[in-house]
Amino acid sequence: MAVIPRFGAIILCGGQSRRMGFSKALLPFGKETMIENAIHILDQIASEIVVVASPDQILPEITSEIRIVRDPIAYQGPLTGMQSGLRHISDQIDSVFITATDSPLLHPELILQLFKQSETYDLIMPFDGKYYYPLTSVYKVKPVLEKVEQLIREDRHRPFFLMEELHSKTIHVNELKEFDPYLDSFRNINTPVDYRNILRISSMTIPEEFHAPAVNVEFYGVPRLITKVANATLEAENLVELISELSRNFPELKGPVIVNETLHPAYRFMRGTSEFLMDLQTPLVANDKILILAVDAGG
Amino acid sequence: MIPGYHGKYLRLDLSNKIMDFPEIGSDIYSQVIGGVGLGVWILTRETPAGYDPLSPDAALVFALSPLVGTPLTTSAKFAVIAKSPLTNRICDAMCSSHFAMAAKKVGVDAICIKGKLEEPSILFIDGTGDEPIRFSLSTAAPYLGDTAAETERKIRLESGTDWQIISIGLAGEMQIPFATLSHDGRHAGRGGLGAVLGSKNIKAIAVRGDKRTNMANPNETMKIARSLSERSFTPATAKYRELGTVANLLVFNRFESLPTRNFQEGSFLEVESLTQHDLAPARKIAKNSCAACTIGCEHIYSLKSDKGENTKGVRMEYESLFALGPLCGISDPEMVLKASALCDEFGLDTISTGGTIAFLMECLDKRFIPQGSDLNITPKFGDGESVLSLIHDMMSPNPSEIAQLLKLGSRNAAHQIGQNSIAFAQQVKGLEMPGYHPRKLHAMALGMAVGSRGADHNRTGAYEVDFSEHDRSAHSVALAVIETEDKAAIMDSLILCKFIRGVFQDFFQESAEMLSAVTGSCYTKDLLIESAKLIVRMRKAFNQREGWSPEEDALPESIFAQDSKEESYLTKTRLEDLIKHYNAGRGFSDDGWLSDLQMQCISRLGSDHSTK
Ligand code: SF4
Repeated sequence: MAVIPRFGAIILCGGQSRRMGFSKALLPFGKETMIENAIHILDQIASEIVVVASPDQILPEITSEIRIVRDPIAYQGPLTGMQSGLRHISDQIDSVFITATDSPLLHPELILQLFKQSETYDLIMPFDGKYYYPLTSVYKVKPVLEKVEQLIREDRHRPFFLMEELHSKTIHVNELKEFDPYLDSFRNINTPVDYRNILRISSMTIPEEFHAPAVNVEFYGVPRLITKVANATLEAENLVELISELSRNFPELKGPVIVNETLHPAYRFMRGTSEFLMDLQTPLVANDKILILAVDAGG
Repeated sequence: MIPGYHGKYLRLDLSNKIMDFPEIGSDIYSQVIGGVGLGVWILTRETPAGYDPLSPDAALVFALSPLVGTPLTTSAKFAVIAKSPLTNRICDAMCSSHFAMAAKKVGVDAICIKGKLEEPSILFIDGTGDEPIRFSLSTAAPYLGDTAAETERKIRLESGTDWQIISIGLAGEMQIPFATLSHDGRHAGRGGLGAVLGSKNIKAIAVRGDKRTNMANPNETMKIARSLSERSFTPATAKYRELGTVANLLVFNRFESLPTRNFQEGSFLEVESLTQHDLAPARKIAKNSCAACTIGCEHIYSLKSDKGENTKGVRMEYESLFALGPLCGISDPEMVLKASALCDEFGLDTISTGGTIAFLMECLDKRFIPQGSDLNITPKFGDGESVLSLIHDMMSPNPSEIAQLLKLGSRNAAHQIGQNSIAFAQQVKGLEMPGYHPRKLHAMALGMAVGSRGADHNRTGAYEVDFSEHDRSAHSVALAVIETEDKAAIMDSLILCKFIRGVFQDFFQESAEMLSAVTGSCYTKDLLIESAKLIVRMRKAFNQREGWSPEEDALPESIFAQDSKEESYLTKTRLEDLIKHYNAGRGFSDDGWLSDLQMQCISRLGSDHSTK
């Protein structure tokens, strides 16, 4: 993929990583860290990259072509990060793709498409029917920087105001499926569960310290008939992760047992034979025995 | 005439060959609905207090319901109600399929058979054409000893396939107190209803008719029927469609609730050998369903002949699998299938047969029965051949001593054996316990102890409480058990199959809507709950009339934890506490008697109850 002239990229990596409990920029992703991975992807398409970090943030060694700027104060939110990035991008750049370091599966084809469609607009922002993705969007440097500075002066820190107040275009994510069939570019990592799920779908090993507890899942009745196994050991820190692991390892459960990423109400989870797990956020502990049973037991 | 009903029942006095048609008032229908509710009302008014269940005084009632014949899925069912010769208490059992629809087309809402014939006969009830409903009798001589299925087949071959037939096997003819009554391979299994029919010298009843009831609101009924059918294909019923009730085996085993070796244990080490193919004891060769059912829960498994060929199909339900398998310590699936097929052929209740055999096995283990030379068969835990031989022996003209004990059922056998063996005769009120070890299932323990027909898993859904998140206080458990019993009373009176229960959001509300659409009467959720409670009380009132005493609401001593090494184990005190709360929740006296007011309400329905 060729680099697009006058097109740059800004990577915001100074976020707090609070729910992750570990600097997202430094998370291992294959042989690299997440920040290195983002740079590698964007390098294929952007003629200039600016990384915006927080004041004391530790970063891996980054090639000297990449400009690293530090926010004056840490954790002021994405608008401040955008301001630093836009201020430091060179004059040769007209528009930029802005991302955070936590979307490791960015597709350059999708970014290119956003760029192409951004022509006459100040910004183009994807939308999935529920959420906007300001950190997977393309912005015109000049008008956007002016607006960002104005918003910060007015103490209005939501990137969404940019969309409202500039000449902007939204694009439904489904229109981008041609360029990224599973819309992986929009998957981001906020929690260890997200992190593991992304590693799993990328067939990467989960680093030792990020493993979830290994639990033993026992299948009964129809789930057992479908999976053709009595039990399976899966790693999951809660039932949400367990459900996604079940779907990945036993895709045939999707439909009859797992619907919309949750257990069909005709089934339930139990820990052992006395604890009913009603809350999907219930933390799991290593060696838990998790039973999947029909609600209609007996009869 | 109220839509959905014929307004009367058929009463046939066999001794005097008199048939008449007592009317049923609309106030009765609105309160007892049909099925079990209607059946217990008729049984009570048609019998004198304290009668012998196998005497000519006894009545056997086949009760239909307003939903029979409508397009509502799983509604082709009938209830059979009588006093059980096994328990001397009420017995209400469900059976399904074409007999229900044909019997209703005779033009009545129930058939009540009383008296006794001199010779074994086949009873024909004909409700076709413009003539009045008529009955005829023919000799049963050519069918004696035949299986129920064979009898049905032959009668239909000779008399025409428009007849639908219920019949008994040899066990019913012999009046074994746990003989079944069956139609099209399905049994009204529990409590010896087959013996009651046998005692009247009837081998089979054939019915046909052409009188349809109409529906008050056919469009609305269709709408509900469509929605119910659609929902019957969802995962809520997948267990029954895909696996049938045998799916319970591994779950119960995991919960240590699979009664093993006469309830001495709650899990069976060799359980996996009973679930070789698709979690079932053998290769599945066919699926079947009752008439008018969109679920189809009957799974038929292949049974090999002695030469190893697949000869025939055997229907297998969890209850038969548990009773003839783990309960007797048997892990060979072929043996379980053979024993189950044998029970089917003779017309024996598999739970009571397996339950009594397991009891005798424990008695022999404990040397309560001398293992002398007079025993040509010694049933032993794990020995499938001995189970088969013992069943054959019981059915022979000269049963051995041990087979004669089997014939009595576990409670009466224990009384003969003495030595406090009653402590491990696993029954309540004489009815052998179904496949739920109540040691850890406290709600089920309560449900079985207070059940009016004895240890039972059908007239209560108490296990649902145990298998879901619930408050464990005695008060809450008791209330939850009452609710499942109420639900079952309505399901069994509507009648709908209990296997569809998982699809309802609000069972009473939806049932009220169904009944209103079919009958045109204005049912509400609250009225139905009232009816449910009334039906439960009517059964209890019948039992009180027949000599019930509070000590009967109990479980065998051996079930209770001796020392409470495990907190979750049921103790006697805990059960007593649960029963106390149950009685309070039902508005009974502390020890379980109906209140005077409750009795008066029942008397006002025109039943004749005299208590205590
Ligand atoms: S679910 Fe099974 S028992 Fe119920 S009506 Fe259907 S086939 Fe008959």
